[in-house]
Amino acid sequence: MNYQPRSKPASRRQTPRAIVGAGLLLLPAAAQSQGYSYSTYGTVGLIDMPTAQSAADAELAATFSKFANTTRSTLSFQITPRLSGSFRYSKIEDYSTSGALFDRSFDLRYRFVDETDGRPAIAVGLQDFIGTGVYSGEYIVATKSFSPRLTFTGGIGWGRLGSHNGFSNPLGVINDRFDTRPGRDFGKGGEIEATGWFRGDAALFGGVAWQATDKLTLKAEYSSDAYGTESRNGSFEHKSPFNFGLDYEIRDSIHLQAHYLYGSTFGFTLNLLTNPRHPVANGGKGPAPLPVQRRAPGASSDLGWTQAEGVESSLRDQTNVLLASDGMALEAMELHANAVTVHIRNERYLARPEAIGRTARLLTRVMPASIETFTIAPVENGIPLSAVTVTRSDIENLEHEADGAWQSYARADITDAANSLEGASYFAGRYPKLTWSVGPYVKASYFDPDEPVRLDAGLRLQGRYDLAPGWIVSGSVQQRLTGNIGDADRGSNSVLPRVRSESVRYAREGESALEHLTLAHYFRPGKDLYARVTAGYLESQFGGVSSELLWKPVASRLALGAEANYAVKRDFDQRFGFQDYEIATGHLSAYYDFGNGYLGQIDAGRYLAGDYGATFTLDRVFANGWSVGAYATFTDVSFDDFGEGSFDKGLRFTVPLTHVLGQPSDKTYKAVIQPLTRDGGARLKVQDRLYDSVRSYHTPEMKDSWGRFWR
Amino acid sequence: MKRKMITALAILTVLSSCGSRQSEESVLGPITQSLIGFTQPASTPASMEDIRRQVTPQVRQRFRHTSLMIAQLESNDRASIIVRRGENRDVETYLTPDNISISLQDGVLIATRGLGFDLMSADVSDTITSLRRGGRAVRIHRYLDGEDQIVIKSYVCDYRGNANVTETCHGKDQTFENSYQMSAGQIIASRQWIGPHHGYIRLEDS
Repeated sequence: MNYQPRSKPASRRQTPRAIVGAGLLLLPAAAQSQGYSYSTYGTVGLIDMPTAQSAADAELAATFSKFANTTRSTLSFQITPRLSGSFRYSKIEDYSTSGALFDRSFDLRYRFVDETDGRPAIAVGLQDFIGTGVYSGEYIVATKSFSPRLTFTGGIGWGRLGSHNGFSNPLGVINDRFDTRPGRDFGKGGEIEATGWFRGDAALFGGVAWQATDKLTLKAEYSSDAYGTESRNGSFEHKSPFNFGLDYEIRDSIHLQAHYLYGSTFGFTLNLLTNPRHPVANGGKGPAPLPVQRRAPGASSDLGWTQAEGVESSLRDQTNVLLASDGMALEAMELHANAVTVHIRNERYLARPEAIGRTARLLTRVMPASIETFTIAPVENGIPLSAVTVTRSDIENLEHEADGAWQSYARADITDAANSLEGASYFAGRYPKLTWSVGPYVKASYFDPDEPVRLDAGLRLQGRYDLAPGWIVSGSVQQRLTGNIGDADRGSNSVLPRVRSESVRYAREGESALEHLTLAHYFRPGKDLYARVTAGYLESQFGGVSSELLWKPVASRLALGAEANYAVKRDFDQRFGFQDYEIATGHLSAYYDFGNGYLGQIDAGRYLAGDYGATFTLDRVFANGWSVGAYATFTDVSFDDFGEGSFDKGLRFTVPLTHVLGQPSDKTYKAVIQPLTRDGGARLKVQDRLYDSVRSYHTPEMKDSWGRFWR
Repeated sequence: MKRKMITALAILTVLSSCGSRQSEESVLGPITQSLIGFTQPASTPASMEDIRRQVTPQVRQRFRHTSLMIAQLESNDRASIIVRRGENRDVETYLTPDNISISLQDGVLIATRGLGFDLMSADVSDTITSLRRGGRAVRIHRYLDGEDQIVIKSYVCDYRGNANVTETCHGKDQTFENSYQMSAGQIIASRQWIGPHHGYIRLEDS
């Protein structure tokens, strides 16, 4: 299950905290996150018990833990310095008479008191708060460090964490109803069962962690978990509440732990850690930009070049050569005596201001001295996404200015570029253009109880033909060479139209498959408006027509979108045929950038199975291109009809390749983890939706990474 | 581990395609290295002395319109010839053959590019005065953090010596000591601190 992003090899320790922290929000939190390690639940903790500590802000931890009849795979994310969330996929053998139990669970923890000299850090947590409740428990825990290497933890737990040596609930003083924990009616799972929280017997737990050396931490705890069901039904024996463990840091990002648990069994835990805030090289290791070439004094009054023949095409050629040597390309140019507009394609710099800054610098080496104004308009899929205007004098004067990054941002004018291509001349030979690639692919499917991770691998041929600006034919065919995704034999039991629950059959029958083949048209209907129409075989399971309109002013935190699609279900063999299921589907979307890296999105409309509802998404996005988010979709399909999980939800990740490479690349690796893929709340998977590419060249985002302008 | 392999495979898959899109070999190398967990130097380290020998009269003739220097990063012992490619007022920018740049204001290092963890800018106006007159100066460095935000560091520096000036700087988290060899008011050789990640660079006129 856990998709574990490649952790960076050179990391935290090598980057002195000072550089990274420097007065940021992180500093106060750092004191709370010293000397922590992860528990068998994959959350910050002792062995089986939680602590009040938080991980370093934004840390992503994938944990695999195994002992006795239990296997847990957990992905945890430090959502804010105080709040963390975890998703877990567990297997418990012999959990009931019907055999092994496969369980998905979500946790949240909030540290509401910071540690000071005189008091401990205190956190409150919910374990398995949606799902079937196998691990459900709540706790309040305090952790105090007595030296940087020694921490003590004590807490009180309810539910599962109140099952060993429990006593009647102290909260009963407030209200009698706290005395009993109601039986959980979990239905199909997935529902939040707040009514049972902090109810029933409570019990105390605690422990100590001692960092013996820089690499080795020893842990001991008193657990309040009786492992009742496991002991009754399975091979698990609970002989003692005391657990002992050691945590060894193999590398900065890899920890291996060994445990002696409950007086009867041994276990091990592996943690893989990464942090979006710490790429392999801050600022990247890409080649240096071309230095600015300052004009000679007085040269700018010379307009002689405007009378000469062929100057413009020669300037276009020179600009394109320099852009190409920097991994970019010239799309079009509009030249005047005192100003130039260049439309660029940037397929290298994910930090968009870096592309702008490099272009501005190379223009100082090409453009006649009289040209004082540079307008740089990035183009994607044939449409300009914004226009950044800088004066050449500023570029000359700020290149080595200590405060050059901020000053250049303050003086740059970032505007809408809707009609900017009208007077521009396209670079000769830019259209039509064919690009293609052949390469291996790997696809994964998760959470099949018979085989939690299934893989397919083969070869994929992709092609893209840019007919004219904004007109693109693209396609992808794949040949599976090996794999077992199609071997899953749990057929769909869905009562809804089977719009996503037959993915296995698509995998099985699509050995040689046409993944997609589309004609797309991108255009700018007007100021602040962006549009796309895509027709053809849109994705592996649906074909049809998809159209999208996006409203996004350059400086706005808010964007609104509308998407209307007509989709027909494709044949399982993924060639050219269609099945007898067609649907009109579409959404109205609102996107909002809350600042501080949090991005919200609501999509309301009609889904593939004909159900109506809305999807709520919250992403934490990092200026360096990472994002980590979660979504949930609620539609008019009842939880019972939806089936296991009750509603569609998932986690999504974007990992920029530069994070692991250090070299500039605008490639990102995207992954979505859906605990369950069913038919309710399913959306069409269209290539290249507009918002992400548009947003990246607009001000809130460009401002966040403007430090890269002079990189 | 299996998961890690899957991810690794997936990333390799993204990378190892061929076709008319830009060659990916340049990224395959580094990623395999980072997967295996070590990186090899691109070439055998050349010492300052090697480079001095390489600057033959022929080389000087080839670059007669610009100036050359020799630079060596202490952290990896690699020395390189660097060629002036930019002049903007009192700042000269030199590039190594593998496209790392170093910007010097009157000989004082104010920026690097292409190293990773680069020194983005440095305000050394006081430093330049104090190098010649002695006394105390403040210098301000700017770096990028992992989220591309500018991080500002300031240092208070003291200056000792005439022909060989030693600059001792104290900041909140770091202390460093630069040394400059002066001749006729100009810096002809120096050992200067880039930042906490890279440490010192040695520079000399060739």
